[in-house]
Amino acid sequence: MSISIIGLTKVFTKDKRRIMALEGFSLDVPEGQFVCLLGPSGCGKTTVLRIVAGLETKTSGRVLVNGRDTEVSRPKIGMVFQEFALFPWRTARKNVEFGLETRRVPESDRTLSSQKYLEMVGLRGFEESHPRELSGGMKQRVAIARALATDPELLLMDEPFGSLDAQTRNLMQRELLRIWSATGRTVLFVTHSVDEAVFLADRIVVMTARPGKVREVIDVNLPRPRDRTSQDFITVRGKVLAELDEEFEKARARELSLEQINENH
Amino acid sequence: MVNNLLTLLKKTLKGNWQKLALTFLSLAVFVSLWSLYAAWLHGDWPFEGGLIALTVPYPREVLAAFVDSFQNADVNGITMWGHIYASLKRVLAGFLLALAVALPAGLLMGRSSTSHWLGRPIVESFRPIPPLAWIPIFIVVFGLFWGPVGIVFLGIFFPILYNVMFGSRSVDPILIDAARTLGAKKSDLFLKVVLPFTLPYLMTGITVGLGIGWMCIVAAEMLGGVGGGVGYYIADRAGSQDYEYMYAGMVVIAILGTLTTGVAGLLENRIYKWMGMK
Repeated sequence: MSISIIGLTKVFTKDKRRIMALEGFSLDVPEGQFVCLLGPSGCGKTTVLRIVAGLETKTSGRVLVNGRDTEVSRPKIGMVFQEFALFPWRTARKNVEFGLETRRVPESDRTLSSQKYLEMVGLRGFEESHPRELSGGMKQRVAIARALATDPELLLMDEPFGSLDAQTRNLMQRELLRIWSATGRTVLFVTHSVDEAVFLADRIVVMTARPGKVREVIDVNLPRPRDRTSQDFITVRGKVLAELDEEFEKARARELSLEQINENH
Repeated sequence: MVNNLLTLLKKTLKGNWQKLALTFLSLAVFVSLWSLYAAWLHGDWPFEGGLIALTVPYPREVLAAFVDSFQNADVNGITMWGHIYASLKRVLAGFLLALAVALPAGLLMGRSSTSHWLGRPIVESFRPIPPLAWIPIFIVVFGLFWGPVGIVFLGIFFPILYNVMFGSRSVDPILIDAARTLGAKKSDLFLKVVLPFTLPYLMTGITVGLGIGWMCIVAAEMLGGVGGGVGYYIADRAGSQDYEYMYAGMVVIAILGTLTTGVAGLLENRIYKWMGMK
């Protein structure tokens, strides 16, 4: 499913202060593409994802999925969170079946689906395990299976590997690409790791410091599987890093000037 | 059920014989000190010719009275079984009433800020009043059965209300977000996220509440004057200076209270396990 985000703006009100999180963020994602949103922390990349997911209201702008406004018809989405967000009292299987239960899918079909997706993420044999018995990487596998089980039109991932150790993280990135190529879903993936973005994405959207908008869209035309040590990979990485560094400096400069204001008061 | 409990008991004993030995040691020391104190008060060996006071009987006398109270009816024609039955009925009725009111009220006050600020002032004004302060008026207004039930209700109500309120309020917002992205409607959020999340808190409230409930029932039955129950039995035997029987009644309360909170604790554990959280 394709997504069009047009002029998305979000203003938060906090302690009577208005904070502009997003200002005219626009992006087109064709069907089946893997897009990474990259930006300095606080740039509103998670907010974009939460608005597309319907977890946050927007101040203005439009989000279209397959040409239909998400406010008119809610698209079926699957979301994966950095904190896993598994229901601790449900087994891996019952976690995966949650989205099917809410859609009143009959039990026999639910079992088939959970079986299929748990197998896809490599968790056969762990169906009856509870989250606390699983490692971080395995928890995130359950969360990915859960997001896929409802057959979503769109997969939204909010720094899903951010709390995993480096080894597990690399493994999960390869696993995600395998699952993505098997299912062909459109993916919107938020990260603050340049390396992760270059390894995964068809396109990288570099966002500006707050208020967030699109600074640069970089196509990554490297064949998969990508070699992190190849010259091409390093070149793309350097290009993205240069863009990001500038925004990072801007964000830092603004923080410093805010501190200055506070000191003068 | 009984078989399950027995195997559970066997398992517990197997790995814990040291703890068990210490438990027996502790009880043995207590009973010895008690015997010594009684001997001193009675002027028996080794304190011959000392004080003479009969308010503290020997442990063996209390044990004999304990056994006797179950076998033979007292002056009211009721055995200890009858008194236990009367107290149990009141505690159970008070508990069920408290659960029926405190669970929905706690969920409402935990999840809706309107209900919270509507309910909070009332709850906060009544909470500092000990349930026992209500005994005289409750007995007059509600009678000898429902009066003590009302006291037990008050004792159990607040622990359940507070635990459920706190539990349902502390549901991790990320779980709500996850459920919403998975198509959960309001009823799904409540039944499949808030309620299971609150269940362990509810169990804690029940365990704490039942402990308080037993304290309440003894006091309420004592002040009731008539109407049976273990509390009444204790007060009545004290009145007639049958102190070994009075203490036997207190032992019964200790056993009942321990059993109730023990069973509630086991259930709490079971629920934790069943929910995969332990």
